[in-house]
Amino acid sequence: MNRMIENFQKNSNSITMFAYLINVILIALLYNNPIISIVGFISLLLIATLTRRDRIKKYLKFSSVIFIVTVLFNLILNQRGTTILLTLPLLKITTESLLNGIILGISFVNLLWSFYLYDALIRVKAIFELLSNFFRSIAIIFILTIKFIPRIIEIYTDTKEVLKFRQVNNEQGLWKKLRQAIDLNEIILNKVVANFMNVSDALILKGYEQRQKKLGKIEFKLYDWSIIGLIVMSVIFNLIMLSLKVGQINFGSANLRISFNRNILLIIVLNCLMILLPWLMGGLNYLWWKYYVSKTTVSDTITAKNYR
Amino acid sequence: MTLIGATGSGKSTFLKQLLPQLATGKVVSGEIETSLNRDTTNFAYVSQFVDNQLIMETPRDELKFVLDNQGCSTNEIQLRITEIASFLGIIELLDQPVTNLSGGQKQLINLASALILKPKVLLLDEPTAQLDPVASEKLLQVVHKVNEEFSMSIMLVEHELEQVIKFANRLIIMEQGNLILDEAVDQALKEIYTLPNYKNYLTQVDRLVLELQLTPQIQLPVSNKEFSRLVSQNQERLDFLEPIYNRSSDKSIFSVKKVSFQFDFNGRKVVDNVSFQLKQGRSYCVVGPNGMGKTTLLKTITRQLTKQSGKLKFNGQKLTDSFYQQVFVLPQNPATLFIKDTVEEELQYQLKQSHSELELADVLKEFSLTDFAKQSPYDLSGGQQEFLALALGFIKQSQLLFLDEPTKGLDPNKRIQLGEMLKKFQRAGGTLYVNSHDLLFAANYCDEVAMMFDGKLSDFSTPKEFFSDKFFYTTEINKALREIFPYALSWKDIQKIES
Repeated sequence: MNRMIENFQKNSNSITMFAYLINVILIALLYNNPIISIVGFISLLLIATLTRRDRIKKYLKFSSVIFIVTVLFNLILNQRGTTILLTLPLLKITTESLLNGIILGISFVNLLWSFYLYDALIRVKAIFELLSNFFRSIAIIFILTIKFIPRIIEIYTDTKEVLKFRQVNNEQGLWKKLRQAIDLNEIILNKVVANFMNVSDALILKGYEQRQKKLGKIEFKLYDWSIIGLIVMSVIFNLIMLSLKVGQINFGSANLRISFNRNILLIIVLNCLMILLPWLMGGLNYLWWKYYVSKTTVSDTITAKNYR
Repeated sequence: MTLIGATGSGKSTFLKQLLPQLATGKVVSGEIETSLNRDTTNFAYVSQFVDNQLIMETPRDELKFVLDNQGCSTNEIQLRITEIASFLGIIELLDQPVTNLSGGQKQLINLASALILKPKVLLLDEPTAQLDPVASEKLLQVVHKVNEEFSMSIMLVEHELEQVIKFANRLIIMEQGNLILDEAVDQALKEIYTLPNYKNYLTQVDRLVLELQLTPQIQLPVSNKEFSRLVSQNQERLDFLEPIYNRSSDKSIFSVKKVSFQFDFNGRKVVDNVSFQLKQGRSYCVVGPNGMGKTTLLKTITRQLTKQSGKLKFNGQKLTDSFYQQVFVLPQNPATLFIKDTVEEELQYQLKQSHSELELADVLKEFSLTDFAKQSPYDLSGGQQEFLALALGFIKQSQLLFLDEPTKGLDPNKRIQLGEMLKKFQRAGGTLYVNSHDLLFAANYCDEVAMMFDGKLSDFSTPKEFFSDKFFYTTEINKALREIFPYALSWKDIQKIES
């Protein structure tokens, strides 16, 4: 993790972090103007790379597949438009239908990358602090999403590898291989259930069952308030733009027009800044720290003078 | 109080009865009498599963979570975390991601989570099962400190007495669900020596003292220092038995040349330029602390992980898919291998896959699984799962067996049984590669031993050469007698000279 982002994560509390992620998801969902979506995608990719580099390649592959599938489905389902690019039996590809497909694909991919960011930044502690006071069971489901999905993948990989040593002859043929895959999934589920039982024991031992319903344990600092303030302003700004239908295109229509004006530029700049907020706030903190250290070393106190 | 017993004798089930939330099954008779409420504030529990007990990302979050659940104030949380972290010496670990901690450090955090509620009774279920000898010793010293300084009652379930007995006041033996012995430690150890099924549970030093009968009256357990003094007084009456190592073949069956592996682009090299050869019919053991790359090395050389550089050869050829058919891997968690609903089905599947002529009943009998044939493999105890997994490997009749911590969860008798089975496998021409924390097992049953540290593997050498050279990382007998019999590794290596 980039040290600026790490600084942001260390200095902000669970609610601030959650608010930031909700805002990013909103930004990814609200606009369908392809220019806004593409710039949003670049910002998301940048912040995702700075936050968690190790899984970027895999996730890029995954989101590319999703993008292509979405575009293809849209081309099949929506064949409106007048500028014909290609005609195939039962399929007419037009500039408009292609553009519609690309817009939907980018929006979907942006949403996926927002969740990548959620997975990289949110901590188990935050989920418990936010949800367990009111929705004890929902908190556990959230924990499963961020902590145990990687565990399930680990069990899957280990089991798949180790089982190769039990089989003397590898099954041939598509049907047999498919059956093997189905069997493997069942085996994994059995193993995962056993694993979850251990976690359930751990939660009991840590007193989660008797958790006191008490609020106010999340500490707010000036830093948190200022970030939450920025996020609230961003949400209000985006809702106003949404009500004014700025950044929206007539999605799905045969007469698709993409506009670009000063308002769109403003949306792009502000939303990029909001997506990159952890990096910017970390950077600001870093600059402040450099300034603070230089101020200390140029101090005229006797100790500082002697030290110099 | 230490509770011992054979694998699957009901020790863990009994321990969990003290905490109803964890108890499995149904109490059919009797009751537990205690003036304390049987809840998590009075009874704390630490299990052998180091990783499964940690929910949060950092130790600080873990400790805060426990206190949050009790409704403690921010101030109280801060004070309690400070206290426990200072007492257990884990201040530097508080903000480290748990994924970066070693097994020993993780278990210390689990202990801290248990102690932070200031319980009256601490229940420990094989807390050192997944730890290396040095980390185990450190953890037990902390537990002893808690016992001594706060007079906290501690009930410890273990498979062996080697490290724990010096800290215990009372010893209990459980056999098939019954308590068959409950005595103060000295008396209990002397009685154990008279029980054929439990003789092997004695520590190496105590066993040798009792075998040699060096003194008529002695308080057990005997410290290494006291034992060394006793042996030096009787040195002229004692003799060292030279071990015989297997030198069956010089044919290389598996070779590893300059293999490296790392998880992250700029990360630490978990396996760093490792080279070695395995010769047919011989057994090799890799020892070393937790987190030093033993399991990663095993996974890399068996193609479960893709090596980044280096060469692997099996029978002089590059590894192909036929490699999977000729070798068997017993992973650290044997349950990873199980795919069927019952023990019986699991074995039958393997018999069919391997076209084996062995009879199911014979296999069940050989691996002490007859009584559990209809049970789910996941419901077996850790040791029984280990034996079931091993049975699958033996049915397959592989040329080469890779075993990752095969003695984990096994009682001393089962370890001997395992050792004998592996020797039999070797006599039939099989080759063994074992990762183990169990130094005594390595000394007794392996032909060559090497140590892994920081991704590097030392040269393989015979247990005699390997351990006589070590100071801390060696068997208790070797530690105690290094000045008198430098090559003695287990109690069997010293005998009385017949007059």
